[in-house]
Amino acid sequence: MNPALLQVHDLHIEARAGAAFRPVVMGVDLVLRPGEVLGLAGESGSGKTLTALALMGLVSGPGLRVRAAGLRFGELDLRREGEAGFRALRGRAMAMVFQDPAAALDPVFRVGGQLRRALRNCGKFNRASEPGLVLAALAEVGFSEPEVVARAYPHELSGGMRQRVLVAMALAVQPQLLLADEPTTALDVSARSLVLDCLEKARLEHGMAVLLVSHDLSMLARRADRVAVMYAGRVIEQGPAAALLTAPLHPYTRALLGAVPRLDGRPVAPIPGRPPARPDLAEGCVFAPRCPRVDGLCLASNPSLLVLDGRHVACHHAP
Amino acid sequence: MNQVLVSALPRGPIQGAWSQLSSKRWAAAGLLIVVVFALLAVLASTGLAGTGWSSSTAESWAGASRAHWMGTNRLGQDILARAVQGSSVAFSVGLLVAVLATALGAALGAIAGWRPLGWTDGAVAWLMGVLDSMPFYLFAAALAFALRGSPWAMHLAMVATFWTGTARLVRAEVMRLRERAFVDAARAIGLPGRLILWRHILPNTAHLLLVQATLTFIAAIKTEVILSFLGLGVQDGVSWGLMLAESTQDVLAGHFGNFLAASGFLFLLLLGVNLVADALQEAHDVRGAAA
Repeated sequence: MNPALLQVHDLHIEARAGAAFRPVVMGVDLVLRPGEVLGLAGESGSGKTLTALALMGLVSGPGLRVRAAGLRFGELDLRREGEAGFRALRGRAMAMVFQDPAAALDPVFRVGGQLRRALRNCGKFNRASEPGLVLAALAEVGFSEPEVVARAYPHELSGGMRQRVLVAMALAVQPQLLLADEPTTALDVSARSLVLDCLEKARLEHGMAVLLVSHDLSMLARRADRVAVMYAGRVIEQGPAAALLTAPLHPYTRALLGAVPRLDGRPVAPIPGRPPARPDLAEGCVFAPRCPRVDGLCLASNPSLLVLDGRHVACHHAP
Repeated sequence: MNQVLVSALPRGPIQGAWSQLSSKRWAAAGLLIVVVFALLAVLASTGLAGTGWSSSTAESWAGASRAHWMGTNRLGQDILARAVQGSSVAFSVGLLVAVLATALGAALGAIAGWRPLGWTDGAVAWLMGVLDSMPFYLFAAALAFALRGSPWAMHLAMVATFWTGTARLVRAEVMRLRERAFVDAARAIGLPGRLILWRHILPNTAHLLLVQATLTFIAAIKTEVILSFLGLGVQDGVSWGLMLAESTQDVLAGHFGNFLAASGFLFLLLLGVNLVADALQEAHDVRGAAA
């Protein structure tokens, strides 16, 4: 088995609420190997995006605190290296596609110029080749007239076009790890598969690993090797995509799959209730208040992540 | 794929400003006035217009004539030539002060806003407080005396104090912009903070700087005239302020040439710049613009 590219152990993120800090991500463990696609699923507010940002070292500011028992990128111990370590990786070994494509591009510069800046900054290419690489990167994500797009300002492009520009920008530097935060949410179906094919290609060609953050389970089923499901700041189930999504072990994963609309006429089953407002205060399982299989044990103690045939699940009743 | 670009939208901040500007007749008139004055200033400083402003060839206080369109002053100097030369002085002072004060305000405001409540922010806030609390004309007089009547004393006084308004605006704008996602995106491609500030955040304040520069230009021209009137500005040369100072005696003797020429020129130029500044402000009004 390949050595791990990214190892995260016991990641905690806390956000300030008034004078106190409240945990929003609690004890997340993730491992990514070169060329692997790890899907990170969960509903809004489950901590997916914050986790991805923390892996880039972009969770900062007085309102947020990050700590982890282990955070390694290849041989690099990011916990020890700190911001300098992250800065050496960002835009070179790690790249990110942001959730909001309208906001992630600087409004006062042309798209081509911003792409060039990303290429210049990664230091992998010489200057003379930059214009060609910019056009190639744009063509790669399906623009038939990359020259026109390169000359455009962000506001002249549609949301889907901006999203593809961001993907082009992230892939152009040939990162070892791509963090893609809902990279296809703003796209129509054809552009969506095109963007995902681009990621697939980069992964096959130079072994890029992808952390694919999405709430779209059917997309993750097709595109991810493994899937981690987050609920209320914790990873509650993790395993191979096919197994996890066809035979979920955790009641939450099962409920999440049941809430996906399907064409076969099966009624959509929404999950009753809401995620807890203060998951850090829950004594038992965080999902217990909404769980169909809840019993006294669930309310009394929080299940730890069990290993079952290469899958991890945090449930007293698994399988 | 969907490659339709909306070409009707303004392409960039400058082009956007231009399309707004040309669509407004008053703004166009203002721009015309400013351009005419700029031409006059260039011609006067290269000796192609307003020549003979210092030679007293005619009789004192001559009325308007074909040779002297606006008459002559007490020394028999041509008033129109002096007013034209005065516009050159006003323009150069206005331009220099506007550019330097706006640049200084942008730089210090950006440094302050990048780390709000940090020590740099505190230092800039302290400096702004000190400068703003000083009476300006007293400060200008003190500088003029300290520099022994150097002709640059008034420039220095203006640049040193006019930047604070711009700095406050830029500081607030930078604090707002640094929370935007493209700043995170710039960090995600590995740019260090310093570069993000200069390359991504400051260019996004360009609209503010443009408006602030025109407003500073107006303030500088007015201040030059006032300082020259008081004897703290232009010493040996010509300025609308000096002409107005002369006219205080002329008017008592019933000669209005100096007064009308200087105040007329000043009024026209300020009107022109104000019209342009108004249009720029309107073009960049965030509330009116759809992102």
